[in-house]
Amino acid sequence: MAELPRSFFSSPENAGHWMAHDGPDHDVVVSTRIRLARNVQNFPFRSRLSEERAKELEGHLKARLLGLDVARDQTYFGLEQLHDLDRELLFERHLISMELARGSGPRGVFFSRSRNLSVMVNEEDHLRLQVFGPGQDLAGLLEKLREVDQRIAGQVEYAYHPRFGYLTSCPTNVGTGLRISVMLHLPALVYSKEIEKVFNATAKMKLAIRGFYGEGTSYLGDFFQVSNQVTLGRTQERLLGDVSKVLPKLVEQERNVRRAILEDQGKGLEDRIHRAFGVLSHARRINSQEALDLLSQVRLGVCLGILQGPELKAVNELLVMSQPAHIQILEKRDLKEEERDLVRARYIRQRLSGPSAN
Amino acid sequence: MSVFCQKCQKEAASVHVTEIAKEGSKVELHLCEECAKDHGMPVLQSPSVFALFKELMDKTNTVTRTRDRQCPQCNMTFGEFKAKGRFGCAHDYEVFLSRVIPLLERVHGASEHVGEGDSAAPAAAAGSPPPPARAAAPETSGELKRLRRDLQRVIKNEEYEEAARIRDRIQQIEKQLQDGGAADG
Repeated sequence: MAELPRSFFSSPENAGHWMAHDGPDHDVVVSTRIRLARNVQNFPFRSRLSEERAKELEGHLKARLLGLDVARDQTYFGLEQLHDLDRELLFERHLISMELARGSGPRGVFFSRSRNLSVMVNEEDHLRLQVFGPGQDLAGLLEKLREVDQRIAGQVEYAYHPRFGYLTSCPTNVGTGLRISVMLHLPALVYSKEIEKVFNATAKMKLAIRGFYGEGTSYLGDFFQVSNQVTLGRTQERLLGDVSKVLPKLVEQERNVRRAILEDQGKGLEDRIHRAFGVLSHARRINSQEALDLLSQVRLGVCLGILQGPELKAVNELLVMSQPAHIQILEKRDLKEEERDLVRARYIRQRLSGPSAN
Repeated sequence: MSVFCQKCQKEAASVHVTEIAKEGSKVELHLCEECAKDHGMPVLQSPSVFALFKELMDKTNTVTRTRDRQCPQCNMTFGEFKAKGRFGCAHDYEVFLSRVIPLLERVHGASEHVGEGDSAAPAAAAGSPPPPARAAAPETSGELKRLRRDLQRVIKNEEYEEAARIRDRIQQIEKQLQDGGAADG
């Protein structure tokens, strides 16, 4: 059975490198993910792909992806050969989708850690190429992704229609196949309930707001993904512009509300943030949802300068490391939920009282 | 209304005409096809749309299997697609073209891809710049061309509801062009 390099995933230094902890808008803009959906000509789409042909396609794509030599640290993992825990780990890192992690049949993921690149094979589409990065360097990321796309196109014949562009299993992705998702931390807009207005405004601009893990997931810890809703009829640049145009407005709105709350109820907000920090620093048992909610408040506290202790980098790392599969690789074994809550509480305590926190 | 042709009194009357004389009085005529021709009934002559639509109407009573249309490659039906939200293969876009287009219009507000330099696009298309959108007229005529193409295709596929929708759109644009032309002239 193939093994993921678990030591890589259990090291907190690697956990937060795709999340922003400096840069101009790091207080609100956490990270960016850009993906392209592609299918291979002469193979049915996933819903009509037999086990046998799925296997054939996976083998075909695996060989070509590895043959690209995009990076020295490139690897490919067949999901069927991985332990359940490893699949969850990849999902919690946003390297693969929930559909790929918990699905069935021949499927896999190609990725390069150094290039923040992953390519899912036999997901909803035959290929889902994605790159990640901290902050909002949308154009830079798109350029990286395009390069990989072109190199794959040199090896594989994509399903392409003269009128509709790149054909996808679901017509909501057809055309460019491009989805740009920017993860934002919007605790003040959630707290003030103004987030509803944001939802309405973005919907009018043909943008979608999704949860922490992307499509079909609910929001957790005040983290949201803003992404383009349409993929057809606009160039990649235009879609990029549509998303990047709205970001400064969202950042501005979130900051304004943060300031308003601080002015309005300074001590109340300070109290909530210190309490969150207090619970995280002292709790003996904590589940992942509570950890995420409290870490969200601590993140806000650090960004507003209310909390002097923990560094934003450490908070970002904790957001990743306190997820269920990550907790288990820290202990190097499968844990029951109650055990995980104990380990999680201990880990967070140690990290917050470590050298980075006073 | 008489059942037999008022002229020959032999054939069944299939053409019903109301003639309005200059004085304003109405004359109703019920003729068979032959006698109608002899009577000098105008032939439907607007080139594309009406001819196509007549062809379409002629077929209406023979075919109602649009809904059961299946992709010959993956056996997907549009009903199954609607239930699952996923196509079965790349051919489905072409097989269900007449329904895909309005669907894409609803979802994306567009039904044509704009992608200069797509790596998978045919070489000629990939290198050519997008057509400049200068005045309204060339755009409209482009849309007309596209609609007429679509109409032919849906008629071939025997999808009449969609054909009627496209026909209406074509007529609407043609009218706009005429009105616009008259105002400019």
